[in-house]
Amino acid sequence: MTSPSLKALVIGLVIRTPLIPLLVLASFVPGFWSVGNLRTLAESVSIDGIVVIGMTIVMIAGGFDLAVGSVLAMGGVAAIVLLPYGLLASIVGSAVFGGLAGLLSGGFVTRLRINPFIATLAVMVIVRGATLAYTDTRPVVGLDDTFLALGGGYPLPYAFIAMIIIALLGHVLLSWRAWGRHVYAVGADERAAAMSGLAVSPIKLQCYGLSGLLAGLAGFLLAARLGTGSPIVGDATPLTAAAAALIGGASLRGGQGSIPGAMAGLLFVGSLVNLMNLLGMPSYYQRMVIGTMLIALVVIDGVLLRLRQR
Amino acid sequence: MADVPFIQLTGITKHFGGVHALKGVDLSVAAGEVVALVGHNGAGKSVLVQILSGVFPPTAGEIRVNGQMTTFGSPVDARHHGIETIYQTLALADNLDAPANFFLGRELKTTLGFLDKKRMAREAAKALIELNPNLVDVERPVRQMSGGQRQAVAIARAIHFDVRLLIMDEPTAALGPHETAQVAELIKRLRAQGIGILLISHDVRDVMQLADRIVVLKGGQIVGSVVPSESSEDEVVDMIIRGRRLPAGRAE
Repeated sequence: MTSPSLKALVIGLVIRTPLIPLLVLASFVPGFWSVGNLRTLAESVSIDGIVVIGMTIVMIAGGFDLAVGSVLAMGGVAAIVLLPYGLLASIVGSAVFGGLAGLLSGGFVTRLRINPFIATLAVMVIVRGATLAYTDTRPVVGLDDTFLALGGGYPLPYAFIAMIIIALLGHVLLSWRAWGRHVYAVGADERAAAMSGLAVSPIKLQCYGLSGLLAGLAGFLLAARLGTGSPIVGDATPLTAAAAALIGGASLRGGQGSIPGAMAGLLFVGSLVNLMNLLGMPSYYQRMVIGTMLIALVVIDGVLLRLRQR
Repeated sequence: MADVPFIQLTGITKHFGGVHALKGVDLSVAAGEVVALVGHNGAGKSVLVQILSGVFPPTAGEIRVNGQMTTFGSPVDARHHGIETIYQTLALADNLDAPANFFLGRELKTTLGFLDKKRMAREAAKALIELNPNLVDVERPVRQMSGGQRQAVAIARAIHFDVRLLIMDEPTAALGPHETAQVAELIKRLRAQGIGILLISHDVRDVMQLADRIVVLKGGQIVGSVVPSESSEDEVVDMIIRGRRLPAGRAE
């Protein structure tokens, strides 16, 4: 029975996001539908896309993860630094470092009962600081052929394929495993979940750990693409990830959202950014557009809730 | 073993920081017995319920199940002993449908560990319709259901899994007269099946008709316990208010 996820995808594509009008509009922009540009689009959404999957899971559990951007940068640096010990060490290392940062966020949220925004803001700054200190603010460079090849892939970038696989796994985890169902329950009503015998804190901790792990892995793929691990990348990542998750049906109140929906949201944000690039809009202005959109989304989310409660 | 109650609490005490919510409470419920726990808000009823259902442990005191000393580390432990609780808040996840709530925390799985959604939907629908024939379309978020329907989900979930003691926290507080009568019928039916019931209520009139025994709680202590057939509503109300029993023969 795939209908709920299919529904989420369709709703995400057609109703919640003006993706189709956007793509129609895009047809008037020369070069949007070219193979080269579509590959660029796939490449540009895939790194953020892996982060979005983790962010969505955390948001379904009623949390938020502001640290994903700096964890991404740390993952990239870890990937390069561990490269001399082999590709496997590089991949596993970036994921493990990311996962540990996520567990730190989760620990603050569950053990110390700190608001997720504050807890992950703190982890964001701690991780960014540690990465900058370790690299002395300079990018680290990796020159391993296999590693660099992983940053490519034609016609589909490997990162994009990785994103699709992780999205499918994430969707199965959320929709077809008891764990996923518990995440939804925890996000909707922690007290009810606890009274129903769910281990609320471990579930939330696992969500943050997963989000960090995926951000670290995304960092590995970004470093493979760039050939460098930069300590300063990813400052807009939380913004993009949150926008995609919210467009895809997630809510700041938790208990809502899905991976297919978030992927539709990601495609929308990615296409919008791609269009703005094609139109030659400077990236700083693009951020202003995405930021404004984020506010609009949260407002719409609130209006929808009030309509539903009538 | 016939005279060993299913559950027996001895000297249950609970402190929250400096607040003494329960002070040495003794309480027992036998199989097939309906015990009502009454008292004002803040008397400690909810705290006692949460200790019995494993939400948190008592500061001091003993819990015996079938005469065996035990501790409940979590709601799962209490469930393993056949203790199920229907909370006043119902403890449902509003975003999930009835089958998902029904099996929350004890999902049915296929051999590969995936959710067996079809079997859960079938079993939940069967249990729900048995309980409340007016329930149609159980596969929608419980948020969209009426108060009575939501309660049916909570009740069906509690009695489905080999329950031995059912704790009902204000089961009729949010219901109309018709649904209240249904709950009363259900309590009688479960009692006949040998299930112990602890009924938490502030409505003395209600429990006078249903309970085998009424226990009055005030200020975290048991004031006393009465058998409805040998007592009156006034006496119970008086105990709730004064926190003590009237001397015999001086009913006002």
